[in-house]
Amino acid sequence: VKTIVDQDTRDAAPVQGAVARILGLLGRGSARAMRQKEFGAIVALLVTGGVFAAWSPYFLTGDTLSNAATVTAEYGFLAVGVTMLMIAGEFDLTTGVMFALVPMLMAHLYVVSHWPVELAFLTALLAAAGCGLLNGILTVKFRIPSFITTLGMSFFWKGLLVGLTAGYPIALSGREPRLLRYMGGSVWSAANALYYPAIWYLVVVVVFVYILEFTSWGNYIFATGSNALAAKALGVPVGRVKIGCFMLSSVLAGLAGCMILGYQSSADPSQGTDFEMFAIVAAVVGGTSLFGGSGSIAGSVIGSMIIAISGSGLVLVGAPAAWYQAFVGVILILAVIVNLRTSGLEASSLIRLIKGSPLTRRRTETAAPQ
Amino acid sequence: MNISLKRLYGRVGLVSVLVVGIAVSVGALTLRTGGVGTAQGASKTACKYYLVSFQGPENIFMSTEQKGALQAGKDFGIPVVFEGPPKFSVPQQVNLLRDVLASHPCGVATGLADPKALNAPIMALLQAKIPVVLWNVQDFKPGSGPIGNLAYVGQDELQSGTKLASHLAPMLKKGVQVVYGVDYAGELVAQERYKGVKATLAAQGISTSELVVGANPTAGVGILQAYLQTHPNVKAIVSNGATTAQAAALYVQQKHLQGKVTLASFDMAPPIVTAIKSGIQSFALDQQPYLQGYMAMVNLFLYHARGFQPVNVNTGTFFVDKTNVAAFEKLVNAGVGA
Repeated sequence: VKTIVDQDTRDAAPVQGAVARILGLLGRGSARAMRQKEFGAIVALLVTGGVFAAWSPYFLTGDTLSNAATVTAEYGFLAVGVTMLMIAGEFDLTTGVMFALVPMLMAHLYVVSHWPVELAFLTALLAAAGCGLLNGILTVKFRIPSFITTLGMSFFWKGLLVGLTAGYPIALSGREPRLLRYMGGSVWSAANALYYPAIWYLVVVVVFVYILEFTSWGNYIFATGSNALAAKALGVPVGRVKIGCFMLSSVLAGLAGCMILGYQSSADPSQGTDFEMFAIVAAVVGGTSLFGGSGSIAGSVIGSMIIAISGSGLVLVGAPAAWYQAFVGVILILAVIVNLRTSGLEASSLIRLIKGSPLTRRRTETAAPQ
Repeated sequence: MNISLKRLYGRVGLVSVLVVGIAVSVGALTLRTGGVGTAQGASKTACKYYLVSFQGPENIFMSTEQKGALQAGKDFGIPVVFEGPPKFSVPQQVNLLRDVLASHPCGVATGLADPKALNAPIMALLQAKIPVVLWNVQDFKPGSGPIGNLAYVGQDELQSGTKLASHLAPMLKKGVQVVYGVDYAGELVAQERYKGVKATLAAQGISTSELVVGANPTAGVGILQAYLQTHPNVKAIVSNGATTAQAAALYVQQKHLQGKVTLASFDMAPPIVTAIKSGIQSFALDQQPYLQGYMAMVNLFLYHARGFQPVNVNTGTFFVDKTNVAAFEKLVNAGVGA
C-alpha cells in the first residue's frame, strides 16, 4: 500500500526542465512550496491576516487572537474528522447536528438525570460513535453515496433533537463540574486568556497528523480514497477504513460540542447550524480534494483559522459583520483556484505562470483532481 | 421457479397494498362521518383552530408559543393545530395558509412576517369569511386595508423598543454609545424594535448603532469584542436574539467588564436567566410567547363560538431583572417561559 502512495507522489514530482535548471534552487524551492496541498490556504491566511493586521492595530492582540483560537478549535475539531473522511473518499453532513446532539445528550444526562459528569460524557461520546457507525454501515453496506446517507441522517437527528427537546436549551446554571471546566474553561483567568478547546485541538491535530502521515492506518485512508478497488485488491480493509473514519468524524464533532458546553455553560439544540458546511470549507480551503485520496490536516487547521479570524477581522476593519459568509465564500473559491493552479506545478511552468503565458496542457492535466 | 415466485410476490404485494389502501380510506370515511355525527353542534366543532407560523416549534420561542396555543385548546375543549416550517420560511408559511384555507378552519392566527407575501393568502381567508387574528408579528403600517384592521395578539414592537431604552437610559451616562446586536440581518421585528431604541436613546443624548453578531455565540464573542475595541465609547449592548444575548454575556464575563458594559436584551432563554441571576446582564424584556399562543386561540374561540370581535392583546414589555428572575426561572423550568 505504501508503494502505491509513494508512486503517486513520484508521478507528480517535478520533471527537471531546462529553464528550471537555469533558475536553480530558488525556482525549484518555490515550486515545491506551491505544490504543497496547503499552499492555497497559506496564501489565503497570509493575505486575510495581513490585511486585517495592516488595517487594524487591534488584530494582532491577545484579546483578538485568544478568541480566534477558540473559534478555530470549534470549527477545527469538525474539520479534522471531515478531512480524514474526505481523504477516504466520503462526505459527512452530520457533523453540524452531532455538534448539538452529543452535548445535549451529555447535558441532559448530567443536569436532568443527575448522572456523574464523566459517565454522561462517555455515554454521549459512545452515542456519537454509534451515529458514525450507522453512517458508515449505511454508506458501505448499502452502497448509498455518503452525501445522501449523511444528509438524510442529519435531517433525522435534527428532527429527533427538536422533537425531544422542544427547542429548549439546557443551562448548567452554576453547576459547572471540574471536567467541563477543563474541557471548555479558561486556562488562566486574564481577559486575554486561552481557553481549553484550543489546547485540546492542538493535541488532536498532532495525534491525527501522526496517524495520517506516519501509520499504516493513514496509508490505508489515502489508498481507500484514491482508488478503493486497487486498495481492496492489495488487502486494505476499505469498508472498515471508511466506517472508522465516519465514527471518528462523528466523535470529533460531538467532542467539540461537549467542549463548547463547557465554554458557554449551556447546550442549545439549534447550535452547530451550518457547521458541517464550515468544516467542509475548512478542509477544502486547506487543500483536501473533494474526490478523495488527497488532503491534509494541517491545511484544515489553516482553513479553520481563516474562518475564525474573518469574523472579528471584518468588524475590526469596519466592514458590516453580515458580510462574513460572503467573505468566507470568496476565500473558499480563491483558495481552491490557487490550489488547482499550483498542485503538481513544475518549476518550468511556475516560470511560465510568472511570465503570464497561458497554461500548458501538461499542467492542466496534472492539476486536474483525481 | 425463481421468476414465478418473484411474480407471485409482486402480485401478493400489489393486492395487499390495494386492500390496505381501501381499508384505510373506508376507515377514514367512517371516522369522519362518525366525528361529525357525534359532535354537538356539528357545523361549529368539525372545524379546527390554526396557528400558522413562519417557523416551526424547533426553537424555544416557537415551542413555547405552541404550548400556549395547545393549552388553550385543552382549556376550552377546542381542536387547535400549530403549523410551521422547520426553518424560518415565509413562502412555506404562505403554502401552509393555503392548505389551512382548504380545510375550512374555525379561525386562523398568523404572523405578518412579510406583509407583501402574506397579503394574498390572508385576503383569501378573509374573503372566505374565516376569522383571522395577527399574532407575534403585527402590521407595522396599520390602517392599510383590511389586514391592518385585524386584531393583534403580541408585543407592540416599536413600543417595546421605546420601553427598553427608557429603562436602560438612566443606567448610562450622557454621550456614551449603545450597540444593538442582532442574530440575523434584516429581520423585520428587529428593525422595528431598533427604531424605538434608537429614537428614545437619541433623546437622552445617547447614540446607537447596529451590529450583526450572528448565530454562533463563540464567534459572536469575537465580533462583539472587535466592535467594542474599535468603538471604545460603547457602554451597553442591547441584544435582539438569544445567540447575541449569550455572546454578550460570555464577552462581559470573559473580559471582566461587569459594571463597565451594561447588558439588556429582548426575549428570554435559559442562558439569559443565568446571566441575570449572576448579575452579568441587567435586565431582559420578555414578550411572553406562551400568552401569545394562548390568547390568539382564545380570541378566535370567542369569535367563532360566542360571536365577540377579536381584540388587541399586548402580551409584551414584561421586565425580568434580578428582583423577579427567580420567579421567572420557575416558568422556564416548567417549559412555559421563554
